[in-house]
Parts: sequence; C-alpha cells; structure tokens
Amino acid sequence: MGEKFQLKIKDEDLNKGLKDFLLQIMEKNEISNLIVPLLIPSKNNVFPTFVKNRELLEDAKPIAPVLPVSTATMISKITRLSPSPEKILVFLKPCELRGILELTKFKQITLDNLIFVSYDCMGAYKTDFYEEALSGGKDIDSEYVSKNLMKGEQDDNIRDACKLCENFFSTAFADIGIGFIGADGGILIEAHTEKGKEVLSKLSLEKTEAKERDERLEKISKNRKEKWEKEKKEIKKEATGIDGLVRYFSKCIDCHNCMGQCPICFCKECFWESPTFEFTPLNFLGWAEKKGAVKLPTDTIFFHLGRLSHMSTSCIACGLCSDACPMDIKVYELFHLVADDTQAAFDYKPGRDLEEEAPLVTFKEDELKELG
Amino acid sequence: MGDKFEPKLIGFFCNWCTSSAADLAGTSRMQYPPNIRPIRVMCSGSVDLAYIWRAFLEGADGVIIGGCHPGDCHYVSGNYKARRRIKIFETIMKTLGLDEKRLWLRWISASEGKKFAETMKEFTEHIRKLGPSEIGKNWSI
Ligand code: SF4
Ligand code: SF4
Ligand code: FES
Repeated sequence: MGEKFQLKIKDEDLNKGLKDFLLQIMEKNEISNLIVPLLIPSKNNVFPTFVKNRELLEDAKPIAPVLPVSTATMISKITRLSPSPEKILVFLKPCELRGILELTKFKQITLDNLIFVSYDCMGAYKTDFYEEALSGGKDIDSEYVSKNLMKGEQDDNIRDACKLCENFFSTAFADIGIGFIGADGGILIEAHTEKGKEVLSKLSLEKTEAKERDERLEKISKNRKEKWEKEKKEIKKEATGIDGLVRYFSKCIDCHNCMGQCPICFCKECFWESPTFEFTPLNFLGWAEKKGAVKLPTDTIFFHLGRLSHMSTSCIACGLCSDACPMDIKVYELFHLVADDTQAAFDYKPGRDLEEEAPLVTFKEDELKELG
Repeated sequence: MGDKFEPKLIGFFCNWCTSSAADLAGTSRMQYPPNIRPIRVMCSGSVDLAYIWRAFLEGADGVIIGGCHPGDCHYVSGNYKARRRIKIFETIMKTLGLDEKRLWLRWISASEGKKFAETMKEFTEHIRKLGPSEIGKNWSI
C-alpha cells in the first residue's frame, strides 16, 4: 500500500466534493475524459457516462448508490477493439473494478490510458427503488452518505448482493482508492499503483495515518462472510438435487437476461444463443417420448448449469443477474454459491490480481491427479 | 433383462487414444458391457461441459471421458484442459447435490485395449451399484 492522504471537502455535498477532486486530478494530469456516474437529463436515474463537457459535471454523482449496469461491461464496449488513444479517468465501484480485471484477462478490455478511481462502497439500491426516490424528489444520495457511507453501515434497502459483498473497499487494483471507513473522520486518498502515485504526486495533499482502517475493513468483511456462510446453508437446502434446482428456477422463462447483464458473460457467440439450440419436431417428439413430457420452454436448467460451467470461476458476485431477472429469481445467490466452490478448487479469486490466470485458460501438468 | 437395472452410459472418447483402444478391444474379442454408448471426439479437450450436462439431463446414468495419457495429447495440452473442466463439472455436481460419482475421467492409450475393456466393466458395475440417476427423469429441465 502506498502513502495515505487526507482530502478536505469544504462543501457538505460529497458528490460535489469528489467531482471537484476528480476535476483537480484531470487538470493537473492533463486528462480530458471522465467516465463517472451522472444524473441523466430526465433527472430520475444515474448511469455511468462518458463526459467531455465539464459543465455537465454539475450533475455528476460519483457515489450514487445505484448499479443499473456494470461499468466493466461499458468499458469493454469502449476498449475491446483497440486501446483508447486518450487518457480516460474512470470512477467506479469495487465490483465493477473486479469485472474490469476479469474482462482484461479475457482480452475484452485494453487497459492502456485508463486510470481507475474506486471507493469504499456501502452498496447500491435496486435501480427501480433508486429511480422512485429520485422521481419523488428525495435526496437519497445525501441520506445514503450520512446513514451508510460515512458510518460503514447498510440500511435494509441495500441490494442483497451488496449486503454480502466481502470486497467492498477500493481494491489494490484501483490506481487511486478513496476511503471513508477508518479515515479519521475525513476522506482518505490512497494510491495503490505506480500510475496512481504519479497522478497523486501532482496534487498537493496532506498526509494522514488512518491506523484503524485495516482493522475496521476486516471486521466488516468478516461479518459479511459469516452471514454468507449461514445463507449458503439455506440455499443449499433449497437447491439440492435436480428436483431442488427445478424448484429454484421454477419461474424461469428462459429470457437470458441474467446472462445479458453479467459482466463475465462477454461471448459474442454464446453457445446458448447458437443454432445448436434450434431444434426440429423430431427432437421434441424424441424427448417427449423418452420422458413422457417436455416442459416448454425446455433447456432452462441446462442453460443455468451450462453458464455455471463456463463462467462461475470468474463470477465476481455483483448480483446483476438477480437484478436483471424479470421473475425475481435469486440467480446471484445460486451462482455465488457454486462460484465459491469452483473458485476454491483452483485457489482462484476473480478480481484479485491481473497476473492470476483464469482457471479455464490455463492448467498445470502436475495437478488434480485424483481425477486421472 | 427383467427388472435388472441396466445403466445407460455415455462415453466421450478421444479419436487418437481411447477410441482406438475401443477398436482394439473389439478386434481382440475382449468382452465389455454393451451399456456404453461411445461418442468419438477429436480430443478430450474438445468436450465442452455443456455436452456432459446434456447427456445427464437426457437420461445418462453415468458419463465417462477417455483421453490420452498426460503428455501424450495429440494437441499437446487438450487433456490437461479437459481435466480442469472435469474438476469444475464435478465441483458443480457436488455443490448442487447431483451425485458427482457418476462422472469419470480416464486416460486410455490406443494400445490399451485391455485397460479399455476393464475400465468399461468397472464403470458399468460402479453405476449399477449407484442405481439409476435422478437427473434425467425430470421432464421440466
Ligand atoms: S453470475 Fe451474476 S453475480 Fe456472478 S458475475 Fe455474473 S451477474 Fe455478477
Ligand atoms: S433472467 Fe431470470 S427468467 Fe430470465 S433466464 Fe435468467 S433466471 Fe431465467
Ligand atoms: S488428443 Fe487425445 S486427449 Fe487430446
């Protein structure tokens, strides 16, 4: 970890304070592009936005507690084909950063010229909840800052995945991390990479210690881990065996929205969307004959098992699959449950380290001897 | 056959080794159970896990993958990759209570006709003891 600095924000408004900080970084480092959560013109929602015109940043909401899409997916749309020729400063949540790391490993993101700033996230609300609050004229951001962010706590309306997130703080992969927890009452700024150090060196910031920070972060992580372990047992009871799985996904309408929002499911030619799944009457006649009946649509459990096989080793537990499900199926919980085990099988943690290869793209000759 | 449970088994066998071993077992007149339906694949590394799920969901009681011994894969590392995938498959089965013992991975070279016949006997008996799989019975999958 690098040196720790203190950020003084004059204004009460954290979003505005952080925006000014980002602008300062851009000015001193000659960066003219920013991707940051911004209030959309209709003023009732916030999306990650590529901003060039600085006047529009009046509506920047860096810490808006909402996650309508993953910035990781968005960055992939921008840099998949080639690196950005200009520097882009990106402000995003820790889970989005983990997605960036995985997508970089899969060559879906080119990191050149991207500078990442992340923060201690206390979770997001579901998009419809957040949208309703804004539509109703509520200052939900300020409330979130005082009740959640600054206290290191989470209110009941926070998304389930966020309540269980163990890596909610600005990870080592962020060039610059912004801390609120154990920050001695202020706002902590920390460079985690050489790039980050260079960027911060151009700013005049006061040093600080934040001695209790690590301990406090660890405590929160530990609490959530314990909560998750308990919840896991419940899900396991529910979704065990083929009948349990059928019950768990009984509302699934095979829309594939969960996959569409998953930052890890990046394949352009998804197997489940391919002609392999265009059948003839003979297929259906055969299945119905063999089992006596075939539920329509068929292959829903198959789809989930297949997706688990292909991507669970990189599941970053962001919960976007659950958010996307029109039937309110707890997709994330089941994927997280399986991912914990498939990742542990290779001692792999997605989003931990860029140098760590994803389990499915590598192998060791001397491993898994028990299998053959 | 009567009421005796005859396991339905699917084998994904590499073209360069296990499939040849099956031929060798046949031409050498070695007996092995007819329960196994072999599918010839170009390499154990070409078996996407989706196909193994398909086999189970459509009623296989057991699935066995046969590949070249470590170091002998025709495509250098397909079998090592297959081994990792099988680990993932087995882990998912275990976590979701889907009876991971129904999946085997074995290295059988082209010259090992005898090993092929014996392995198929063993696998058939192993699955016979486990009984029919529940996975393929459900029509709401
Ligand atoms: S499976 Fe769900 S929780 Fe896991 S990375 Fe994809 S969207 Fe996020
Ligand atoms: S989003 Fe929900 S309904 Fe649609 S495929 Fe996924 S689990 Fe099924
Ligand atoms: S060629 Fe036989 S396992 Fe790869």
